[in-house]
Amino acid sequence: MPPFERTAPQNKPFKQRKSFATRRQEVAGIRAKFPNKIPVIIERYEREKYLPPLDKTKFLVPHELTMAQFVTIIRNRMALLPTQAFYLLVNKTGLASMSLTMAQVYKDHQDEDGFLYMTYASQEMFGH
Amino acid sequence: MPCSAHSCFQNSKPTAKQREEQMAFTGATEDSSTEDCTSKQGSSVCLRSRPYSSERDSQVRDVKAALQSRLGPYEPVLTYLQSVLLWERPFQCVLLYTAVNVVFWFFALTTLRLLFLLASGLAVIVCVDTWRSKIWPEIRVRNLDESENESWGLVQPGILSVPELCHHIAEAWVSGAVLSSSVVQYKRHNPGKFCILTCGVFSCLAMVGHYIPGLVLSYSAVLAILLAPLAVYHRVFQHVSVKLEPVLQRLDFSAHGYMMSKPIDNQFLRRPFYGAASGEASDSEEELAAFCPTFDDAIAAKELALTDSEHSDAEASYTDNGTFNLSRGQTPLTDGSEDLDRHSDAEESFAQDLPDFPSINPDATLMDDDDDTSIGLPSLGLSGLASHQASVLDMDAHLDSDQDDLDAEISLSGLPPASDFTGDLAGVIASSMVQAALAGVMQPRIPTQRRPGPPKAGGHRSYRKQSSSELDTDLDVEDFEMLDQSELSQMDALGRGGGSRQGESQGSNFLSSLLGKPQ
Repeated sequence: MPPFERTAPQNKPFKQRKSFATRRQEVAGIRAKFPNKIPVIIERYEREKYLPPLDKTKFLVPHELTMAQFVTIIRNRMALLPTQAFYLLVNKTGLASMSLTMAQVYKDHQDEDGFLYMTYASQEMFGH
Repeated sequence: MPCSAHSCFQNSKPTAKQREEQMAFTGATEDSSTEDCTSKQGSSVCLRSRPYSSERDSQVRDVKAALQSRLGPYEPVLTYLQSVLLWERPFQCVLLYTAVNVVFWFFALTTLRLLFLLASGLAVIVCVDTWRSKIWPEIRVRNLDESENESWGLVQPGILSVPELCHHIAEAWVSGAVLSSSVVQYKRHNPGKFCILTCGVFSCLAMVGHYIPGLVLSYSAVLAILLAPLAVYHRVFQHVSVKLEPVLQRLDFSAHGYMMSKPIDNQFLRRPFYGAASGEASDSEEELAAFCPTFDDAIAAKELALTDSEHSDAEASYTDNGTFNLSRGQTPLTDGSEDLDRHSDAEESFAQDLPDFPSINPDATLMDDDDDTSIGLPSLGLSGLASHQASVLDMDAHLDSDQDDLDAEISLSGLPPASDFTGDLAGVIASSMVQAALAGVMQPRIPTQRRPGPPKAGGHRSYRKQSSSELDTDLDVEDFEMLDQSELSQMDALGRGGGSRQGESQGSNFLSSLLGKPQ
């Protein structure tokens, strides 16, 4: 059954788990199925100590959602306390403006495979 | 209780399955174990449950994990179901409602026997189970390559995600379990009481069942189940409680508050406002009266507590005035009695106290106006007036007009912006209520003061207005004004930043002078 397949592969980042062709195909499939949703990959920063892992990596997000709403939803999903810091970094580069819609973020930062990659961390910056 | 069925079903199975799964992945070892650790730590930190019992927390966490592993792959379905229940997809929602109704009325009106229904239902369940465990894997092989990848999480604003849903269900489940165990405990320790209690509850239920047909009860239960998500989503309960709160406060207030004074006085004092407020003439007395308790009781206390700490003179708002007035009106009872003596001749004292009135033109003497608004009532009505029709009214008109004319003007001023006017009206009424209470207290002492009819009301109003302005000329208010001017000049020197702080100190000074005033 599918529920347990997610526990194992979370050790490696999504990009290394799947080949470019697979990812591309997946995006094409999901975009055909849900044309008004954006495929987003959300992963934990690998040296993150405080934030719990998410139960899912792949998310389908409506176009018109703002980043602020999105962050709130993800926070709720992880059941974070209000005192816990949570930053969502787009493409491992930096924070997106909270007022941007997901469509705008996707337009600017989408990967060549069609996914939008995001990393969450309890600190707003890290080197790589 | 679908959750109970679910969790029963899961408590045994998935944990075992998980363990098995973990055993399978021990190859990953260290990395996964550390991650597990952090996840455990994180979730223990993050769970939003009540802090008092860690045992309960851990139970909730277990149930939640079990539920989540079970419901995780069905996230799209659950999201879809939620959006249907919340009327986000009207067509499907209508379909769902129709289906539920059809099923309900089928069971309600069917002539089939209970045993038949039971047996056929069980047969269907067995068939579905066989399908799922034997046939479904066969079909699944076909699209294995697709289903091998993880399922998608759906993000939808306003809809609970599966982890949240699981958390809530787990909370409910655990609290239900705790409740049932405590009931069992109770039964074991004092069986007599338990027997009486259950008999009482069940006889109540039996009475309900005797008088209301079962069909009505079950149909309303079905409808409640269908509509409950909608109500929760739109926070109906909170809205209703917010709406009910003023009423409750009013009840509370009326128990000890101004209802103690004679109701005749209240009515008679409020009547002129009906005549004056021609635009709002349709307002019933209850509606108007509903303004007062909110002003008086809770909000006044709240605002006073607030203004104690952060009152800025620049932003001296209208509600501040209201509360100040109220507090003023309530505290100085002895002052009021001497006011009554003095203000039997209304016009004389009106002219005498005119310098203490705020100026009608707000932009000519803005600072003075602000100061006055923080002091007393006259500024309340008049500054409201000034804001509406600063150009129309001038000082001379007020100098030779008596109080009745002023009343008429207030009524005229109410016409242009309705919202401002209702605000003014509420404030004026609130203060008039307090004055009514005052008058009720003082009635036995000065019976001649009471004259019925609208012209008398004008007299009362003038008395009210001037009593509050009269208080301004008292000794303690004098030093208040002095302090005020010096502080203002300082404020000009200091600039804007110091201004607000001085406003605070001024407000607190005023309050202290107000509250510490000897009766």
